[in-house]
Amino acid sequence: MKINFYPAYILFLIFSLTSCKELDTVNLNNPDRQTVLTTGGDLIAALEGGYINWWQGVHGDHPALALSVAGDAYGMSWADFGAQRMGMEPRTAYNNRTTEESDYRQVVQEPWFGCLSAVATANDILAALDRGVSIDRDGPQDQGVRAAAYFLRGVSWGYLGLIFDEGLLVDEYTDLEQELNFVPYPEMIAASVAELELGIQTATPLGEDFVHNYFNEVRLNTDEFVQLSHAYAARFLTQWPRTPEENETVNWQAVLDHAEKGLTYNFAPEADGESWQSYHQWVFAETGQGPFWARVDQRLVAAMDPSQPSRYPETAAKGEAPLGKTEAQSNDQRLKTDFVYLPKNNFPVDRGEWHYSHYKHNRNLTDPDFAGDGSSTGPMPAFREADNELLRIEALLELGQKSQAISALNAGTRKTRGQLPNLPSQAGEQEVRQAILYERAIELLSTGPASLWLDRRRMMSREDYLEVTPLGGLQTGTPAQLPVPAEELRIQGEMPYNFGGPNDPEGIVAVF
Amino acid sequence: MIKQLLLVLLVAFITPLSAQQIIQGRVTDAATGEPLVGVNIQIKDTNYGAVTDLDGNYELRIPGSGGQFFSRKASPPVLVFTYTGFETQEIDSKDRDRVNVELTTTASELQEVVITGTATGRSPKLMSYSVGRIAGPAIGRVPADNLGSSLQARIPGLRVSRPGGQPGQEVYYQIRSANSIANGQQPLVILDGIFLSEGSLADIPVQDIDRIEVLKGSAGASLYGSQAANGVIQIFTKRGKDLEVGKTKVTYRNETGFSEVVDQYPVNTLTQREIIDSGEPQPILGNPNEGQLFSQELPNLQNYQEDFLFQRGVRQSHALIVEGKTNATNFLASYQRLQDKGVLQGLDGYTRNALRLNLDHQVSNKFSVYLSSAYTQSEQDLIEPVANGPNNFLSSTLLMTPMFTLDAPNEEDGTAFDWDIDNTGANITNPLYTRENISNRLGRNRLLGQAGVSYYPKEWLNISYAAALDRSVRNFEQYLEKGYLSTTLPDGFGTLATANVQGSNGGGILQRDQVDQTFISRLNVSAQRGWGGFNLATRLGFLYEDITQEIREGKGEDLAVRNLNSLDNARSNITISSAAQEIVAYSGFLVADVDYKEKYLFSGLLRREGSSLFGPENRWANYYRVSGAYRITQDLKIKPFQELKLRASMGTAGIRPTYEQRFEAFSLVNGELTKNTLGNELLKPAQSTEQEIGLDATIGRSLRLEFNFSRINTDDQILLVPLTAAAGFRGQWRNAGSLEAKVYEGGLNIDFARLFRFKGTAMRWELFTTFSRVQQTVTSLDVPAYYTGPGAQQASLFVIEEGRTLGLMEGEIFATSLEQLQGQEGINPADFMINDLGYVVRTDQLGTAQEAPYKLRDAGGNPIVDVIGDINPDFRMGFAHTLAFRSLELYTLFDWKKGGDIYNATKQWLYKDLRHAEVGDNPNISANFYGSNGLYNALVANNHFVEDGSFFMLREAALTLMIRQQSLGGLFKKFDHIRLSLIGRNIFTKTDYSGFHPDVSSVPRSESLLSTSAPDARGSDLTTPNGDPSLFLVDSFNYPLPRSFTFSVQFGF
Repeated sequence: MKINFYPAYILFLIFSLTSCKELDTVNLNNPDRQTVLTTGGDLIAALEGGYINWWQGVHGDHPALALSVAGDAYGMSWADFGAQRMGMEPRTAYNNRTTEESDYRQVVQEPWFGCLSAVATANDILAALDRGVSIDRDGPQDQGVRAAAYFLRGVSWGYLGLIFDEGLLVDEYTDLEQELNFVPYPEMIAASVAELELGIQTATPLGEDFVHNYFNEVRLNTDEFVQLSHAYAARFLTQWPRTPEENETVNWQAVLDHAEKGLTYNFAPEADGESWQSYHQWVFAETGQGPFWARVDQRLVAAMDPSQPSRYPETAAKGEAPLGKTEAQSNDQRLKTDFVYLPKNNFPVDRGEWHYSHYKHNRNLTDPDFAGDGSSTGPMPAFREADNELLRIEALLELGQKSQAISALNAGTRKTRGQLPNLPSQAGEQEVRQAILYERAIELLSTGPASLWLDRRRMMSREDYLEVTPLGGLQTGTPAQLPVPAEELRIQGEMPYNFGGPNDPEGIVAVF
Repeated sequence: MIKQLLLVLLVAFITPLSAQQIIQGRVTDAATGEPLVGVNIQIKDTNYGAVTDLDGNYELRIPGSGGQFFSRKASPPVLVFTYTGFETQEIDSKDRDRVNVELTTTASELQEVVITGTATGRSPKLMSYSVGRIAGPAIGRVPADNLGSSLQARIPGLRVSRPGGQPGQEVYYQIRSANSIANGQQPLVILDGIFLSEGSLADIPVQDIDRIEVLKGSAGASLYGSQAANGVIQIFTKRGKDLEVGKTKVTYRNETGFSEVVDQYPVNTLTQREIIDSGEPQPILGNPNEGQLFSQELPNLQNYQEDFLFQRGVRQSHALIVEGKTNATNFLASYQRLQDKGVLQGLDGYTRNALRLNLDHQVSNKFSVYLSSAYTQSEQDLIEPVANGPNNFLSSTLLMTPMFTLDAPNEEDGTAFDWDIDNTGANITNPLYTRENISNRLGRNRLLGQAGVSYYPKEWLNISYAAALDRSVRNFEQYLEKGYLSTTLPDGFGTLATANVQGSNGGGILQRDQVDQTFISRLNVSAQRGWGGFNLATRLGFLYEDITQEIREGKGEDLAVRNLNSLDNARSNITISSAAQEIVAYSGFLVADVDYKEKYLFSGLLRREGSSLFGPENRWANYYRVSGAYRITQDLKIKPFQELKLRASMGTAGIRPTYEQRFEAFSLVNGELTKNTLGNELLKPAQSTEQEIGLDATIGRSLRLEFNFSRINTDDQILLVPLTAAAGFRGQWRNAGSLEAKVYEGGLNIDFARLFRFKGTAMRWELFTTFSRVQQTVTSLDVPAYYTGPGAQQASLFVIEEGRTLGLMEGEIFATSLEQLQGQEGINPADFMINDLGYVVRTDQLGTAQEAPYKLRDAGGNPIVDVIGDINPDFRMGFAHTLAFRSLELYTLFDWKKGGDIYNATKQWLYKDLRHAEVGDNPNISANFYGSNGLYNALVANNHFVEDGSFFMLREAALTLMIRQQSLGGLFKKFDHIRLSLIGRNIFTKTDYSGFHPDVSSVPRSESLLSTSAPDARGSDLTTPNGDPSLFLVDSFNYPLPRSFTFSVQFGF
């Protein structure tokens, strides 16, 4: 039996001609760790990504909005960003479950994952620098990247310490295969400040060779970078306490030291409509189109006009008398310049009339520093010079230098923008503290994320929701810190827990 | 016995004496009674034969020396009647000089040879594992616009999910059980040897189909390795092979009709608010009344659904098919055009043009070449998928309070529709404005081709080579007209798409081109020999696959001019993105089918496969199959079985990781680098092992039964293992779980005409019943239990947990009995009662505005989350019924699903703004009971929105009149036949489900946009796997499944 296999050879030939590719294909889309971390230029691109993670985690839509509503700075009944549920009255616990709907879960997920992935990126970069990946052979560019990475870790740990009861401290030497232990918030704050100082130490010798270009459209020289680092250190050292009792343990001298070297400019990255957005500013923005997403909380209206109630009357639900005069009057000129009066409310009545107020923040139209909308264009003030100054004033007050504090207040925005009468030099300590809180509430509104929530929890005692005062503490049952997200606890094999609600009036004791 | 022997001897002696026998008769079509011309009649085992004349008559002269065979066999001649398209009949002519025969058309469910997964093709009778088969004519009666839809309820164990009735919509399959937790259940789909990318059948016209074979699980589909754990569907198109030599057949078919929505969605026409102004076009409502009761009709009440939303949409198709055959060549050429407007007003629906050319040519007696090619172009005018919240034309129409004059002009710019007419606080953009100003178009061009050569050095040996290509180009465009005013924007568009924001002109454009290409090249050597009762068929094969994908996307806002669909039109927020992937795989296999005297059947297979999607540490995977069967009735006569075959089979197959699962990492969007998932060098395909036992039986010629039980274990599930946030990456895809499924399925074909012995009549009466029941469990999970679901809103609806059923829904629970209050902290059950809606409420709040359903809570006061539903039905059945008398045929297909829950997210959304009809149904229950603090529950999943998805429906029906040439007169005489049909689809459904239709599945996001989110390819995200419609039965403003009626006429030349 003889078979002519000649045609078969041809078939084999065709087959072998068409099969020429290797099984080891490359990732065509995205550089992997090996690629990113082996060339110096890519380190910068990766670090930019880390800064975006941090920005979105802290200034992104969910925590800044939800905590501002919980801190009675904003009124918003919409379910977006978890605002509705974080603003329930009486307050409910933050229910830390993976089964919760997405908007609500992201209140904890966004800052947790955002800050920690920023830290992870900083760690990758520091590790790469340590193993010799370089832009200019340990020259100023390498050192500049190093300083920026320390800064990124510092602000990330700082915000984890401000927001969560505990965090994870992971640096470039941590073995991620090993079990990680949660670290309580005071340690997170301490690590954060130390890291910011490390960044300052690394950047300072670089002088003119240092450029920090990681915040969108904000180019910082050494001085500006050092100032910003000090300012954040002052912020974290001031705003970490959960209660007035803890507030008494603040290291005010350290706050003063940092604040005095702090900002002499307004720190405000530019919005780009994609990665760089601040929804807590965007919800107030004048878009040319109604309806406005959020309102200013009625407690702030009452702060400016004492004749206004701190709580909007529940006319439909409880038959309370409607607001006699919906337009407020105030000696503070900012009521006219920074806020706009709206005769009608537009939230659904069945979601609670306590969300109502007749004002929204309008400073983006009247103040050039606020000219953006928080979303697509313009600066997004995240740390104002005035904020730094108020931290300094508060440190002075708490260190017993009341008169310096009063004169600084009288020289500050209270006067320059609010045109309020001088605070008398004999004003009591509590009165000065109230004046500082007032200024932090009105002047800093819509700048530092969730700032008033952080201030109310530490400066004033909790108040029952029916008896709130304009500049009082958080409402009873408001979470004063957030739990580690249930997703992370699940990975670490721990049970989810909550803060706030009727079983935790101070909002600081874990409820399972 | 002795008597019989004597008889044989007698015949043997007597028959040679009769010099010449003449047998006469007439052959007619059993269906029509018309004579059949040219039927071939042959005396079995001889060359003697005859052909029928124009009247169907024949005369067969058996030669004088006929004794030679009579004496040899000692039996009268057996006449064999063969005619293309009709079943061959053998008739014993004993003692008869006239034999009249009625031939029946080829039974659709019976095909001669199964190709898929075998060595050289096997008769179904000789298969040792189960294969589903369906023939072209069976699905051609009611041709679906998507071939996939045609398979529903016809093949035991094959389930087809269709997210809705949008014309041109993709369908999804699940064969037997769900074998994958995160990668979907799509089987491998092969068309004439071409591996189809993404398994899409949307471009294949039904009219071209010759037959379809379905390998249901690993036990049968091992030949296809890591792509086959979800089964294999192989489709064969027509090629003119069955024609007589020298014949050319031309068929033209037209189908015209309409589709419509069966019922309107029930919406609330009442209000609980005071009416401040009832005038047109914008009535104004005030505060709620004291009891928050729906006590009055809405002012200026509108019926949006009838006036603006729905229509009777025209549906029309044309098909021209030419088939021909010469001595050496056969071919098919076809053109088809389908146009389906759909049931939504103002949209263009779906248009498809398809061309096909199939060609076989015998070069010599040892060489043949073949070509299959198709080009399809289609255009779809889409509504935006409701993946992250409802903002499209359909959903807005249902959510909008029906009291506004929607076609009132826009006061801002004088254009047609007032965009902000809604003043209720719900702030829904006028749906007509949305429809006119936002368009979503998907164009698709697809080229399919295979060319091959086949060489036969010996009769028993074949060497063949083929190369095949599936190249699909999708162009998606989203366009917002310049001047767009609403702040409600499609996913991905920023604020400058709204006019007047920072001086923007508004409007936006997104264009996305996606090119998918699957190239395969394969070489097969097959041999077929028989000796000593053994028959052996083997095939050795090599396969090379190269699969690529390229995506390019551009987006911009703030358009310069109106009506210009060009990226150059955008002035701000311009982003560009691209993505590419390439997958390479090599495999080799050896398959052998053996039988002994067609009685004992064996099949064995080995396959080794390497893929770039497997990590370098696990680069090669092995697969096998062993199966055997015993045809008992070949040995034993068991009444009433004509055929009884017992089968057992075991095999393995895999599920490939996706590209995104295999590779990390940093996603780079618009030059910004962020970490995503960590790559996995150890990743291997999920491995499915199936054990199948089954039987095939033919009972008394009239009943055919198939039954299978199969147990499927799919290990090494590819799951996203979440990593601590400290790692920076969200997670890593690892092999981390197992699924087990038990499947009971069967098919029963009853030929009533034979059962009731309708002798000599022209009646056909057949019923084909399918049945399947599936139980599926997560048997191991190496990640902590987690929740998943389709889209952001239902991301935490389905629980994946070791030891539990796959497909369980969990959510919060509103108490429906007082017993549930036992153990509720701080609750005295005596203070509660059941209200008219069956929910537990506080007695003192009954009938007040505070009346609210009681939600079960744990000791900490938090809502309890527990099982609220299960998607898995008790069983599914299909009934394909054909009743024909002469030339008239009635065909019906019923589909029955018993049990299985659906989560009605549409209803939950409608509760939000109190727009669902149920909200106004009870005059004594306040709005609060339904709203945010009540059942609506701020969109958090709860038991109120879980509904039984059982249904019984008449899915298809066709009444057909076939007129053959003999009955045609006058002008029509030239036609071979004319076929007239009245066709209905989705005609009638019996269900308790409250939505549009219970046959829904989740709507996957059809276009994942690179510029907004890189990692959202199917299977790449745990919380929103984005596309397992089989697993996630969530009704979320799905395009309603329409009912359609059409009339079709077909001419044959």
